[in-house]
Amino acid sequence: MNHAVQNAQKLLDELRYHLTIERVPVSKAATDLRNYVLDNQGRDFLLVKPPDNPFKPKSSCMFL
Amino acid sequence: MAGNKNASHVDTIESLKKEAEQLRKKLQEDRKNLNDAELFAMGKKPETLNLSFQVRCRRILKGHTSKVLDMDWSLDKRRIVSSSQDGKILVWDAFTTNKEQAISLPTTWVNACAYAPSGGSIACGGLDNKCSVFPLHSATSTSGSGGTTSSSSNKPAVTSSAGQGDSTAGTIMQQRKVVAMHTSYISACTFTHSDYQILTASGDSTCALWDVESSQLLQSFHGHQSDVMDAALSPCETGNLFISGGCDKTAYVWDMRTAKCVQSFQTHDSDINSVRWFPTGEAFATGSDDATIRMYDLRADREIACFSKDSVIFGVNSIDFSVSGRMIFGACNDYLVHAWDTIRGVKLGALFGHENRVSCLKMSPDGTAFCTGSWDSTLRVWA
Repeated sequence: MNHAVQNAQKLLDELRYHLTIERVPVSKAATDLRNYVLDNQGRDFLLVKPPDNPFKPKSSCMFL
Repeated sequence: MAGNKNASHVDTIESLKKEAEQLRKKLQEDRKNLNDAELFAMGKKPETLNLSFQVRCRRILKGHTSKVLDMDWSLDKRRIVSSSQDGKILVWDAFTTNKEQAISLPTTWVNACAYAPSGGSIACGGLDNKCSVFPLHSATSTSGSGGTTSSSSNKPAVTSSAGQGDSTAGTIMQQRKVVAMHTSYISACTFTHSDYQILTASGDSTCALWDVESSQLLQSFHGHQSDVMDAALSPCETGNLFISGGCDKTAYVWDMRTAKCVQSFQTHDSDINSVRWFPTGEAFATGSDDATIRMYDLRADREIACFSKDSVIFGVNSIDFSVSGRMIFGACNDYLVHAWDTIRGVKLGALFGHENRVSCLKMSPDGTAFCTGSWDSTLRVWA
C-alpha cells in the first residue's frame, strides 16, 4: 500500500514540475518550424532532384 | 489496527489522486491558453508538392524468410541492418543489394536493431528480453569485392543466400555481448551519440540507458503505464533529451542525465508505435494504432498537428520526417506508406509496393532515400 502512495506522490511531483515549465505560444513555435522547413527544403533530396543519387539509376550495370 | 492503517492509506491515495486530477486540469488550461494559432493555417501557403514524381521504389532487398520487424541505416548512408521474426540479422549494401553479413540468433522475433555510429557493430533485441551487440566484419576482411562464391566457413549455419561474410553460428555467438537485460521484450534500441552507450525501450514499461563496455545499467526511466514501443534520441549534438511512446497512448520527453520526465503528451486514442524527432529537436511526431500521426512541439508544450485522412484507417507502425521536415511518412498496416506535407497538413499520397504490413521506416542519414521493412519479408529503398 505504501508503494501505491509513493507512486501517487511521485506523479504529483511530476505534474507540479510540468506546470512550471515556460511555454511559448503556438504561433511562435509554428513559425519557427515553418521557417526551418522552408529554409532547408532546397536541400531535401526527396523534394528536389539531387546532383547524383546512387539509388536513382536503376540500371543493371554499375561500378562495384 | 491494520484495518485503520489500510483505510488511511486508501484515503491518502484518494486525496493524492484528486490533487493529480486538479493539476492535470490546470496543465490542460495552461497549454490551451497559448494555443493562439494553427500550424497549417499560418501565413502565405508554400508551393504544392508533387510526391509521385519524386519518390519511387528503387531497390528491393530480399533475403529474410519471415516478417521484417526493424531496420536501421549506417551513417555511411549505404549500409542497412535489418532484423526479422526469423531470428536473423542481415547487413546489406543498399546500393548493390548485396548481403554483407548474416547473424542467426537463437531466438525468433528480433523486434529491434540498430547500427553503431562507427559502423563497426550492431545492436539487436526482442523476445529474449536482451539487447546484444555484435561486431561487424568489414566487407574487405573476407575477400575482395562482393562476389557470390561461397565463403570459406566450414559450417554453413545460415541457410539464406547470403554471400561473403557469413558468420557461422559458433564464432559469431562467441563475439556476442549481452548489454541490456529487461524483464520483458525489447521493442526498440538505439546507440546514443557514440558506440559506448545504448538506449533501450521495453515491454516492461521502462526505458534504460546502458554502458556497452561493462553492460552496466546507467539510468532507468520509469513513468509509462504500459509497454514502451519506441524511443528516440534528440538530434541535437548537445542534446540530453529522448522521447518515448507506448501502449499507454502517452509520449514522454526524458532528460537522460536526471532520469526525469520533463514533459508528457497524451492525445492519441490508441497505442503509440513510433516516435521520431523533427530535425530541429524542438518538436517530434508519433505514429499510432489510431491511424493518425501527431506532432508535438516542446516549447509550446502541446500537440500542434494531427495528420490523418478518412481513407487511412489502419494503424501506423513507423514514421519518419524527410530531412528538411517538410514531409512526414507513415508505414501502415494497410501495406502502404502514406505521406503528408507537414506544414500544409495535406496528404501527398501513398506509396505502393509491399505485400503485407509495413513494419518499419527510416530516412537515410543524408535524406536521399528512405527504407521500409515489411511483414512480406522484404525491405524496399525509396528515392
